[in-house]
Amino acid sequence: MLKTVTRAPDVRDPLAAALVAAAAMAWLFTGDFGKEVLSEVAVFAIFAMSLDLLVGCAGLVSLGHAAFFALGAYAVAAFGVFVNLPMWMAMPLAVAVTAVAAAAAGFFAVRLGGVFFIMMTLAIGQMVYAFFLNSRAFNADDGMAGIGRVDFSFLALDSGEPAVFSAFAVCAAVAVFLLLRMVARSPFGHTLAALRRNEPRLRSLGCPVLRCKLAAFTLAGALAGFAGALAAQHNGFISPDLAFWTVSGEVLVMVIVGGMGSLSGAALGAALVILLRHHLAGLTEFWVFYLGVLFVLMVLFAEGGVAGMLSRLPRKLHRRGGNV
Amino acid sequence: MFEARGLKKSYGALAVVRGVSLSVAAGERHGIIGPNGAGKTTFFNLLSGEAAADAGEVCMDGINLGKSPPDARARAGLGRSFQHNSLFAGLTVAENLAIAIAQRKKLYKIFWRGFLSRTEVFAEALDRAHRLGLGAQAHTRAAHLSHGAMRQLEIGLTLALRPKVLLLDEPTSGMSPEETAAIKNLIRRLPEELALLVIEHDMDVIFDLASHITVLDYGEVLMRGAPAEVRASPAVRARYLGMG
Ligand SMILES: Nc1ncnc2c1ncn2[C@@H]1O[C@H](COP(=O)(O)OP(=O)(O)OP(=O)(O)O)[C@@H](O)[C@H]1O
Ligand SMILES: [Mg+2]
Repeated sequence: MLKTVTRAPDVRDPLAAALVAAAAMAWLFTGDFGKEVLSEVAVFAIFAMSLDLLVGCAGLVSLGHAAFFALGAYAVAAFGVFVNLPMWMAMPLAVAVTAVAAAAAGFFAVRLGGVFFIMMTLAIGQMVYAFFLNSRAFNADDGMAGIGRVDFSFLALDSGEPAVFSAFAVCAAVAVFLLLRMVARSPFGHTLAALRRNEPRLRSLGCPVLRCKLAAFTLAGALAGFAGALAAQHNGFISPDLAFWTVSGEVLVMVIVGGMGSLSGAALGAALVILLRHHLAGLTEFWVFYLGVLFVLMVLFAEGGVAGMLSRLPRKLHRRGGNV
Repeated sequence: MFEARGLKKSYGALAVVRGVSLSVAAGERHGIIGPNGAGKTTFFNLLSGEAAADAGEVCMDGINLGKSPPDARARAGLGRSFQHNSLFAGLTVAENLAIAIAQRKKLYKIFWRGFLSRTEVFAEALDRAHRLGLGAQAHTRAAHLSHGAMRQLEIGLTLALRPKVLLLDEPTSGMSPEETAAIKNLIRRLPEELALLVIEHDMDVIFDLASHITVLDYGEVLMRGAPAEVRASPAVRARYLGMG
């Protein structure tokens, strides 16, 4: 009986499997530079998936998500450099700090609907940017260098090696994917999806919509903080630019290009945008322009982004096969 | 059981609800009638918390609901349906009902186990779909239903809350005679102790179901009484039934 209620399984999990396979291939067959790119993709995949929980699942479009990415990066740097904690401790602490900050910011933001929510998140992001830009402790606009990486010496591995760090980053991305997929499939996740579809009705059915939105905002912020903590270790350097609104915009583009509401789509979007950036940036100064063109085309012609296109593919092939 | 005292609401210069009081006992079937624009829906919005009252209060089981939001009122046992369908259009009938049931069971607190493995929720959803007369369409998306079926689902979502006080805003509007009869049956089979407030333009439905009737006009109570009294009242006949 249950079978009849649930929809056919969607093809986005094969996409996740394909992404993991592609990451494994990249790890095996590229040099150090390729592995640096792989780490970057994994970090931004985490960042984009965390935003997809808000945008794709709950329908909350945030233009300030980079604030939490930057907070995670700055917090891990503060714990690592100022307090001298090992990264294994600095990372969870940074995530906790970001979660608290996201809960505080969310407390104000989730009360606002539609465009006001977007403006509020934008303002929060720019406030965080301005704060780091002016903070002496963090060297203001010069940023801060000398951030270490997690220590894998107990496994006789050196995380300074691109091979080691990229493997760690990919594993972290897979873990975040599994965590967010569990949340999306839970009653809470389905409630968020219903909230996106019809918030007033859900509220009149007794759902504490503000609390649910706050929980989603906090979890998404904490995971963006985790991505930021990884980015700080990957680059060894942080600057206020991490929080700038264009970073929030870029991660939103990743989510939309990949396919809103699909976690693996968001990860794919992160990979596409970052690979495009590396390739196009070498060829033309106007790569952002081409990215913009791609974005507009996706929004106009590809509902559900690349993941949506892929999910319609089997049906199309099937139809064509039937005609022959 | 349920009581509203001196509710007022203005939109700008327009006083839409002008001091309406009403009390409904457990088990009472209370009809609200009045011409278009009388403020009936706005009155419901004040009761359910969808709109904030300028003055007056709403009490349930002797507890003042104050400024509590609609979701808190729903959890306290106040369920309402909407005059203009408010559904989860992209979800099927069964999924719509499952979402409503999940809210009643407060499952939104659970973020680890899968929702679709909650067999009891989906079994109840299918059962409710059947009892609503939507069994054959249980797996049809709400957006693809006929108008009458949407109205049935609209009411079904509210009933899935198992409310103690139920507000129905024109449940049979736009329905065929058969669908209207089905809704009447559905309302008759509601739990005995439930307090029902129903806005309705179909006089046959209201005189048939209601034990008490309140007539609203220009945001005020024009008259209140048993169906026979209301039907016989010259004022109501002149103003509303158009039989002066
Ligand atoms: N949000 C609002 N803003 C401004 N005016 C409103 C609002 N809601 C209702 N009104 C006005 O209040 C008046 C009463 O509206 P209401 O919907 O309560 O009437 P009603 O009795 O339910 O009518 P109907 O029988 O047509 O459903 C109308 O003139 C309407 O235009
Ligand atoms: Mg109305």
